[in-house]
Amino acid sequence: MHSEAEHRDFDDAACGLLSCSPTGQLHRINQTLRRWLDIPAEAAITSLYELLTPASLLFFEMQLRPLLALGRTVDGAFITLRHRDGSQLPVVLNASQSPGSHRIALAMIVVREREQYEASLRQSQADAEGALAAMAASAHGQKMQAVGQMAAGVAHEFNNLLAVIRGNLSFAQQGVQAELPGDQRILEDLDSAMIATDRASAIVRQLLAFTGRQIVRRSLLDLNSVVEDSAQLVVMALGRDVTWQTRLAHDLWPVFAPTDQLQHVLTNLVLNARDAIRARGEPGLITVTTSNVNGTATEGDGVRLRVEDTGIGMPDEVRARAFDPFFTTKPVGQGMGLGLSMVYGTIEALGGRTTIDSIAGQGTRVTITLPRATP
Amino acid sequence: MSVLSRNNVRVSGRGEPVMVFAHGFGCDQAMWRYVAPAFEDSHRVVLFDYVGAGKSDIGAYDATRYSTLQGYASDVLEVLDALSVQQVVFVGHSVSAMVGMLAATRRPSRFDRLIHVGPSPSYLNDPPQYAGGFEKQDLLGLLDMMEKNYFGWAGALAPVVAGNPDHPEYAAELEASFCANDPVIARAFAEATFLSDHRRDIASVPVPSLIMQCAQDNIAPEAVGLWLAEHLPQSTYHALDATGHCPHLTHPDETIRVIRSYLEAPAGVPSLSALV
Repeated sequence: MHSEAEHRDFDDAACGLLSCSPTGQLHRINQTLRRWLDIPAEAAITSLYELLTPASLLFFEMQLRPLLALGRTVDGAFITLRHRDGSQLPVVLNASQSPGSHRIALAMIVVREREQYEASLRQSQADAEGALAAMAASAHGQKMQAVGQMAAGVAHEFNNLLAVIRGNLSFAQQGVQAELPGDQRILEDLDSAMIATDRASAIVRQLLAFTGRQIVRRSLLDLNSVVEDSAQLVVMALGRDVTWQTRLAHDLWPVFAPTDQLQHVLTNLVLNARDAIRARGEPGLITVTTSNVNGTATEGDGVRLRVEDTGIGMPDEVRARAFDPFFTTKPVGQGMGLGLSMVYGTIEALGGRTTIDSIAGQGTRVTITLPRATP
Repeated sequence: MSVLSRNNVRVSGRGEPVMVFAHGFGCDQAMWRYVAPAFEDSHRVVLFDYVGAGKSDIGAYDATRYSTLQGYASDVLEVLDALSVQQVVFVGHSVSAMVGMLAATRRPSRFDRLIHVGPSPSYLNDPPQYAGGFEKQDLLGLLDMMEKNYFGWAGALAPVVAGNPDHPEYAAELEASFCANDPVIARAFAEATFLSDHRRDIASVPVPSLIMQCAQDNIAPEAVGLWLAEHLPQSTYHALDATGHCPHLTHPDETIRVIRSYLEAPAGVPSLSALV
């Protein structure tokens, strides 16, 4: 039992005091600390962690609690507490846990430079918000161009380096097999390096497609034949719940493009559509349409390929980022986030454009328009 | 300097099979003091410090190598090479669980089984499919806090020896170095640990493993352990009664019991029994 005087001394101490169990369950908390954090006397706080900012929680758990568990004292550590209004209160903390005891005692004083600290926090927040606003304000095209240039540079350099790495790994594998055939360990090392190199090469190939810098052979091409040639392969991948239909325009104008790249584009779009239908969890329909688009005063004639699905659709914030490299909403391991980037990059490089219309919960329509080829 | 000195490798025990205990972020091999000795009768026990932690050789620090967890995995593989051990049971706490998985993926034949204490492949939330527990700004806040503690409040973490009468075998010299991490290296380690996302590496881990998930773990919450149980091949999930993030310090008896019973079970028989 604590005497009334002891209670008063505890509550009115010039520093914040609390005691808790080793798992953070609060035993006592004094009035000073409640006042600092604006916690009403009647409010029930059950855990130390409710008083810590996430960063402090991490720091306390990983740096301070192990010390306390081994009977050490913490002397003058800097942490931040969470004020009821959401702001942060920086404090210096002393803490101890007596050997064999199930009670941690904490004493805190407020950091004198609080105002300065808060001002710097506000400033960094303002800086960050300013930077974000500037980024959002910049046009989508500019962003994609900048990303494209950077990706092209990185992909080019990486491709060269990967060629060297792959070549030397291959020499090393042959050497080990010839000279040290029993050395499983080195072979495993080389195998895992080769697998990683293959993964890296696949990523570089997709990046190159996004940047439109892949070397390609173009020819006069009928988009209907791309759809028909891809149909067999694609339909096999759709599964029972996804139906596929095509509406192909007769006398479709030709385009000037590489066949394999457009097959790749179509396959990507159809598999995305399938995933969107599966994500919705009901049987669905994919419609692939081709059509001619008559030119206007500013644009020449075009040829359109459209892939439409009745899947889960995209909210606006997802649609806005759908072409960004490495942006994906698929579960881990089911997509690198390069599929639509590749489509965008390929079509841009061919002088065309890609647009997405989508309504969350109802479906998505991706439209590709390529310039009509003049034979 | 040899690898064994570089990583302050300590070997003890009378058994044949080798068990390696790897410490988590923010501490050193002393973290295992209540658990590792329990395996000395049955195993050869290997403890070590990552470069920058404990009594490792700070001169061996290479900022590029240790900017990712792969650098720490290389440390583990090099320690095993230097000890000329064939196959080990690797027990990793916190970030070391991921380090162990990366090392085992690179050289599967060296690992018999992995035991993960409070593992997390990524601490960052990635809604809607993954709840790592933290937002990026929280983790940046941690880095900021570490900097303030190490530089602004020098000595805050300087150990005050309180003595440990139950374990006199740990000399005062070891006590004095406990958790004495180099501040610059600790910050880089924190970045490699907390800002990396290794979820894509999980599916290719080729070794059977045990996931030990604490209750009320604020660092690696239950949702993360369950995610891992679902995605990590050949894994067995065990929910501990122990609370917090350091069961090997706070609940050593339960930690020892669970590890032992996993090792006594036939190898490679994953179980999700604790899940249902």
